[in-house]
Amino acid sequence: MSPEQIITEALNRYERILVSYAKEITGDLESARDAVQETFLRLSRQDVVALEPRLRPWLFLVCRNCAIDHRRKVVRFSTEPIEDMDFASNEPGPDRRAVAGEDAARLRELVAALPRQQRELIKLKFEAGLSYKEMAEALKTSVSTVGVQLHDAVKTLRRQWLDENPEMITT
Amino acid sequence: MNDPRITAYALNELQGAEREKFEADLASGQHLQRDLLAACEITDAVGEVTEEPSEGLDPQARARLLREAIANQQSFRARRKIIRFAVPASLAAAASIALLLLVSGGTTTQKPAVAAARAPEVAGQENAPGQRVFVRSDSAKVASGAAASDPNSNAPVPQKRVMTWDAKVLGADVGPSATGGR
Repeated sequence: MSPEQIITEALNRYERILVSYAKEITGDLESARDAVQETFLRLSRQDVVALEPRLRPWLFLVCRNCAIDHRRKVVRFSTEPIEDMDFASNEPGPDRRAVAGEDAARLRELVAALPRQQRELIKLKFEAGLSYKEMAEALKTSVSTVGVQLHDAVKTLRRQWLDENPEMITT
Repeated sequence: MNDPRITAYALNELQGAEREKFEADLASGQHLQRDLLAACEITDAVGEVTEEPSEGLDPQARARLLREAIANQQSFRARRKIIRFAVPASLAAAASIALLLLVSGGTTTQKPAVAAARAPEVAGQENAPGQRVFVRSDSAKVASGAAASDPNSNAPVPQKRVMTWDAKVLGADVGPSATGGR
């Protein structure tokens, strides 16, 4: 594949996922879009052919850094504490409404209520489909840390889900 | 449910020996089986409710970005091509210059005969008769200090070893050395 094709393919494939991921960090769509644009501009200044085998974690790592930069800029001009900001949109999309019922909506709420770090992992795993290894690379951490944190997130969800739906999980 | 391997297994992230070990543990542990079932239910449910992200870039901004990215990549490759050519070329040029200097420098250095004349004993070469050379003389023992100046003193006279260089014309002695001769 030529470098131009790699860039085009990456943009087609990861644009929306990266915007969603960046929005998780920045809290607003415009900053997320800026972060994704910056990510692809940085990609274009790299040897994309050499980068291709590990392109996915690279994109998420760079996008994350860009999004964090944008978030810092927002915080600098905002009096609102960063942790109080609502990063996750609770508004269901059309597909979501069609497929899922009340349970799904509630589960999404539970995911949205997780700490930001765990939400980020959930997004990387379930939305972007990254492996533990790729997630570790994207988050600049170890595979075991990813495993432990994601397990904590699943444990929290399970506990809360069980409280509300005791019949759903066999214990 | 404190074992991170449970979630890793539910998400198909355990491989090789780790996976085999977990499956062996699973076969003998009812709690583990129950926890795995619960983890699978949750991860499956989260996977199901995770929607395809719908928001992307603004279409105009996207088209602009793609153009700029491709242009960047092309100029990146052009620059790299130049670097790939320029580095070996300049290294080759530098090596050629160094080789030339080495070759031309060899012809202008001291002639072997002169070098041998300065240190014939080192060079081990014979010199032509009548050639003026410097040779190191045998050591001379000379009394030094106060003991040397007092002829009545019974104290042992410390002596120092003096190395001298005598000018010689090969085939005939030239005369006393600069230190007073032997």
